[in-house]
Amino acid sequence: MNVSARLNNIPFALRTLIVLVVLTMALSWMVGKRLSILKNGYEVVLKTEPVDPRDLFRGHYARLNYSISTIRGIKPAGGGRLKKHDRVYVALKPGDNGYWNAVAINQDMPKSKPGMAVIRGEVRWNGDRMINLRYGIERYFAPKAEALRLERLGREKVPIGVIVRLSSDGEAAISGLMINGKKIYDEPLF
Amino acid sequence: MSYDSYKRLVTSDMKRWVAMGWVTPDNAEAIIADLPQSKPGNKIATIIGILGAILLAAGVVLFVSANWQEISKLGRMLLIISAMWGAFGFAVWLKKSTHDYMSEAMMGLGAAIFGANIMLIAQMYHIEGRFPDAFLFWAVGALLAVVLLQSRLVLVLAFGLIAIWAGSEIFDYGQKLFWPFLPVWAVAAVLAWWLSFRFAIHLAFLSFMAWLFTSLEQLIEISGLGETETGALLVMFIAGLIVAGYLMQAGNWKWTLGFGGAMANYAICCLLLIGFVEQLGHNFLPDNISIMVVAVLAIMAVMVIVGSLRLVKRKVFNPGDAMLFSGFCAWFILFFFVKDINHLWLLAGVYLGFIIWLLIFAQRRSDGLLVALALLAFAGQVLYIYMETLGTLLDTSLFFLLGGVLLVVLAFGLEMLRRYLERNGRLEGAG
Repeated sequence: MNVSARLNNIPFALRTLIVLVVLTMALSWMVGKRLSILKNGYEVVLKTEPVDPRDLFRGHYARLNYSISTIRGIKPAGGGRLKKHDRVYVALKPGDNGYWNAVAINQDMPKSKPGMAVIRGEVRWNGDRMINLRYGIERYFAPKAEALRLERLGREKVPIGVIVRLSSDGEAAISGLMINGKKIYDEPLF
Repeated sequence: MSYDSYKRLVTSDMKRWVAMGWVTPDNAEAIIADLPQSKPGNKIATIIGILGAILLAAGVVLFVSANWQEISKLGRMLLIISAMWGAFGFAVWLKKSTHDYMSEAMMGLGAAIFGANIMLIAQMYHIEGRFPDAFLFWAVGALLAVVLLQSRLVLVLAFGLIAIWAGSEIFDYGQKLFWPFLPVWAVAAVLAWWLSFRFAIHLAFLSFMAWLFTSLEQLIEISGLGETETGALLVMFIAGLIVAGYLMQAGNWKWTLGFGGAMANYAICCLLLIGFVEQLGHNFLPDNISIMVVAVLAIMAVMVIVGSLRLVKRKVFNPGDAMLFSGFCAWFILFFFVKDINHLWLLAGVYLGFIIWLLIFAQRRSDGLLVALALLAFAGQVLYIYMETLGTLLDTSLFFLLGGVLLVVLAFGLEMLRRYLERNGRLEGAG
């Protein structure tokens, strides 16, 4: 019996149910992974400047350019030259102003130390004296008015901080917003 | 040929055959009555159903895009996941009610809503991620639905998603040689063949050729071959595809799903394109050809020649066609290795000769599509020669005067050619 005939022996409704269960599980895995970081991740605050573009599928968002997006004067540990798309782990320590700053760049996950957090990133470009990285948290999706407000605040140089949760392997998830050092928004889990 | 065109053709021929006395009027009536009745209602309902599904899918995507915050995250997620379950559930109900086409439309909608769900979760949790990853995730889900539900519409969607995924990896992320495309493409191509879905087989062939051409530069770099060696191998590969396509068509094997002729036509398009580019940019640096490449070319050449001889046996080619086809391909290959020659007359002339042979061959086979393609290539080549010879020699006014005359002569010549072909009654459907 060929594959088609065997498959057709299974009722269509049952096959549809299998498809739906697998697709729903895949979506739940996406949500669960994010929830786990938001619930159990290590919290840091990163300084940012937002601007407002639009995504065809996901609507308006504020593009976030973090102070750790471009790292100057820090050579990668191990001395090798980083290439575009290389994965890196950036060690963070809190600064005096409450925002966390990059202190080291590694190609492997460094051992954890007290008072230090690690965020995973990808090299966008590597210049002679600076490296530009992305962390997968560069978009803050919000209704148009909110996205534009964030952009305006950025233009007015109002200090904006993004509260980020980090998983044990450095994956980052946005969990809230701070303006002028005050938490103004706490991202609900559901 | 669509069913309606076939029916029109049989009906009009039948009148002629009755007039010639070959078929009796009663028999003609019986034959026409025997043709299965088309169901226009079905077609219209299917088209409207698919359009409705597309509009609904667009509505869901816009709902996600609007970032409607009056409903909680959980509420929004449940709403859209329920919509996906609803679409697939409705598809099951329609299938049971034997509304197969409408069921297809609902499966397409369900697969589209799965993508909207991915985007919604990414939006709600501010996941930027890599743009192509979301499309790969979506495509894998769609392919699963194709395997289990055998949905043709979802397969078309999957090919679209694979194209966006690979295109984004290649053009946005600079992955010039994108190997991961191949296994995913292979799964989709096997599914197209498994479902005997010719439209999807066309999509599979075209997407593979697009990948091959975009990856060419990197393939050259990795393989260590020179530009000219790669060009030669590519021409030979395409010649092989043409021969294989016609053999598949002549063999009429069931597994080819009647795709042979289309494959040969696509490959001829590629050969015409390569020949045209070759004459435009004769700045290839002829490099030494390695023994390895010579060996591979020789093996491929033997295969093409053996294939051409089989085509002669099957009366697709006549001996002259086999010789001319092999000769033109050999010249396209050899030209890559020739240095400092008057390229216009040594390639442009030969290229024009190839087009004329193609036109005669297509006309003899009554292949209207190929005739139209060859006429288009002929017009393009004559224009190219005109630009090369006149444009550089005369001042502007004379250039335009002579150009106008040449274009009128070209138009007149093309019309004469078309009338000649029509007079011979062998240009069916050349349009």
